[in-house]
Amino acid sequence: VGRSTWAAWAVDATAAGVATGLLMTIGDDFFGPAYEPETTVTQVCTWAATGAAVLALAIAVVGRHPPRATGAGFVALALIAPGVASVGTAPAWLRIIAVVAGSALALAIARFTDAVLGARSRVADVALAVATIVALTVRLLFRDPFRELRCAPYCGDNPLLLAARPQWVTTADRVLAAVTVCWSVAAAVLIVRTRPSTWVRTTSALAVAAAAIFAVTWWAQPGLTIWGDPTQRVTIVPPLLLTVALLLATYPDVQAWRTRRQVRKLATDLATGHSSGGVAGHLQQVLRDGSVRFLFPLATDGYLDVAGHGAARDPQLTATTIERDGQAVALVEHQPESSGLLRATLTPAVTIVVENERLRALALAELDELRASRRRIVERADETRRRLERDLHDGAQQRLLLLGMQLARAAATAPPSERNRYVDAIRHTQDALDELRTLVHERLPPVLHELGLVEALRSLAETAPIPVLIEDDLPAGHRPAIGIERALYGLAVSVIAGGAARGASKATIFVGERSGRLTATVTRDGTGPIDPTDDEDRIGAAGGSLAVTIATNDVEYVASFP
Amino acid sequence: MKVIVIDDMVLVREGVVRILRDHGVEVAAAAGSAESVHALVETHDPDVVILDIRMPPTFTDEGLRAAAELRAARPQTAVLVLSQYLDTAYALQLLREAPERVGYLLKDRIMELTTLTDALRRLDEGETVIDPTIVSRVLGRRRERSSLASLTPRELEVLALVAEGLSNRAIATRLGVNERTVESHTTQVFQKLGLETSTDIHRRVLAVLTYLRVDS
Repeated sequence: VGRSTWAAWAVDATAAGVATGLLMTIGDDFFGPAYEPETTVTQVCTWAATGAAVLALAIAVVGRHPPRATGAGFVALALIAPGVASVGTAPAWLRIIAVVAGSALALAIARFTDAVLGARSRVADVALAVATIVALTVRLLFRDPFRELRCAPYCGDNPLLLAARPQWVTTADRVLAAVTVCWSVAAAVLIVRTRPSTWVRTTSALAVAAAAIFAVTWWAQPGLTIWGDPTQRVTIVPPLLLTVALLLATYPDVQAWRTRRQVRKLATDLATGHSSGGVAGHLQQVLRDGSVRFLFPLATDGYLDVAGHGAARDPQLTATTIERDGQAVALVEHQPESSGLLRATLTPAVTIVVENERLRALALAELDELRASRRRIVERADETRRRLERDLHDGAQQRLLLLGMQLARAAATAPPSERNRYVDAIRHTQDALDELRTLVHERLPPVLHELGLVEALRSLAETAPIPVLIEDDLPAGHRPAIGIERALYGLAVSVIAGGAARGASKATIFVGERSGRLTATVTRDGTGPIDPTDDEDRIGAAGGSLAVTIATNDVEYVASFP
Repeated sequence: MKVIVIDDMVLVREGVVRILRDHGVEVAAAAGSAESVHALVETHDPDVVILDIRMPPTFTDEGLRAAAELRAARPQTAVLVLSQYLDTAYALQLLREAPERVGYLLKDRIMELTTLTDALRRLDEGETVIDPTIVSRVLGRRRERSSLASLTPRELEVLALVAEGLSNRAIATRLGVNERTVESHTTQVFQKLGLETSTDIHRRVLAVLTYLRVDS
């Protein structure tokens, strides 16, 4: 027997009890015509309520109790409220408040069930059954149609008068009470064992209301005390049981409420861009599960994590798939205990944000690959250049040197008339050597590679066409990665050359740490920017970024690296 | 004078050896790698060792390191580093690491026959040798507020020769004045630049080059 069948049985039994009880009140009047003639309002209400209750019972039994049918029963209870309130011994205002409160609650729950939980029949059944119990309790406490009518207002003090009730009525009441108790026990067990946040919220509110109504009526009617009647004493048990069970269930309810709030906040944060830890971070907080992690399935086998790096499933953890339009958007890894709450948090809004994270992860993965390939291209180009330099050193440079040396020896022994020609040839050789050196060393001087950026910049300053001031606060012995050094050196060369061409009179270079990042600032005076595209690419390839600020009198280039 | 030539490029090495022999310098040995230096030096006890800066295995600055080790191990042997790098940084590194009697010449100088032999002679006499091209680089560097503006043309001339590693006597001979005059010039120059006067050639070359390279 599944849980939903249990609940369905409970609803059926309770609805039947309500209907029976209501049938017994047809044409009833607590004090009889001698004391308080029945009004038209009372009669209409009573008949209408009875009709609705019969209808509800019929639909509940025949139509497999869809929530709407049971809801109709509560509409009936709401309608009967004025009739019930018009009689009794407690002050009228108090009875009106108590009965209207109970009926309104029942009505609200019926509506709530129809509108919100219509699709989840088990939840609806349980909620409605609880509401039925409240209504039933109200009836039992306020009215007993088989009480000796003429004994009022003193029959409460004389138990003998109660014996005038027909035996079958007492039996029917006992059966009703027994059914109610059974149902209540079942409901209480259900509540304690399954704690789904949605219906616990509903029933918790109900429990408080039931307890309140019971307390009020008990306090207000000492004359009709139920404590004296063993039959009616039993009827106290259900609401008490329910109250305890529901209060027990309140804690997860509060937790679930907080979860929903956090999820809503999560959605808002993500929508407004306030999220720091991403969806996974929020879910870790909400579910109190540090192992929560998103994996995004790739077209090929394998997964990406939120940072766009390749990742593998952790077999120790449970995985829940998030789908959108039938497509798996993501896999959430979590502890097995988090499953229930997790499902509650995966609202459509969260799913959309998760999908965004997936797109972001894919973009990041692609970006990583592009960055790596850009870095490789630049590194390969630099290596090619270094190899070229080495080849030139081993080849052309040596031969030019040798040529110059031989020319010099020839010049030494040549007749004076010939000597000038040798001197010219030697000069050309020297020029060729100089040009070769400039060509090879301009962008990647060996000093950069061997002695570091600052030494290379100082050497650059020696031949720069404008004064260059160099400041550095790099820790002694610490050198940035060679790729970064090359990129920064290239930037300095470009800015100084470009600045000199545009009439700059000086340049300043700072290399050091600023706000946790390796930063190089190259400033020159004069106007107009130079085109730093090539350097920007190199800086980007080395993992940094370049910002150019053009002020009135100078241009500042700031390159920074993590 | 006895020298050893270390250069991994055979043609250049042979060329240098021939030039030196032409000029009456005794070349005791020639080799192609820095690793063989110590053995050769022990065997031949040369006055000067000529080293290529760039040699196997890394083809970077093996020459500088070998020079520093050699100078530390053998105070009586001078070292001349031949370099294809115009960078002052290398010359300064050599001066810092190898105490006294070291020289840094551009390899291109082997096309000027006497420069090489002059350098060897100067090293043998205890001077320091810095390539004039490097000196003119640091001297000619653009400065925002030139600290050199306060120097007279003659003082600038003296400063350049000091940076090249000449002794006061050599400067006097070069400029055709007497040594006293040179002494007073150098004192003036060092005072104006705020440097500490020193008679130690090596130390004053290092001070002047560092100053010229780093000042603004």
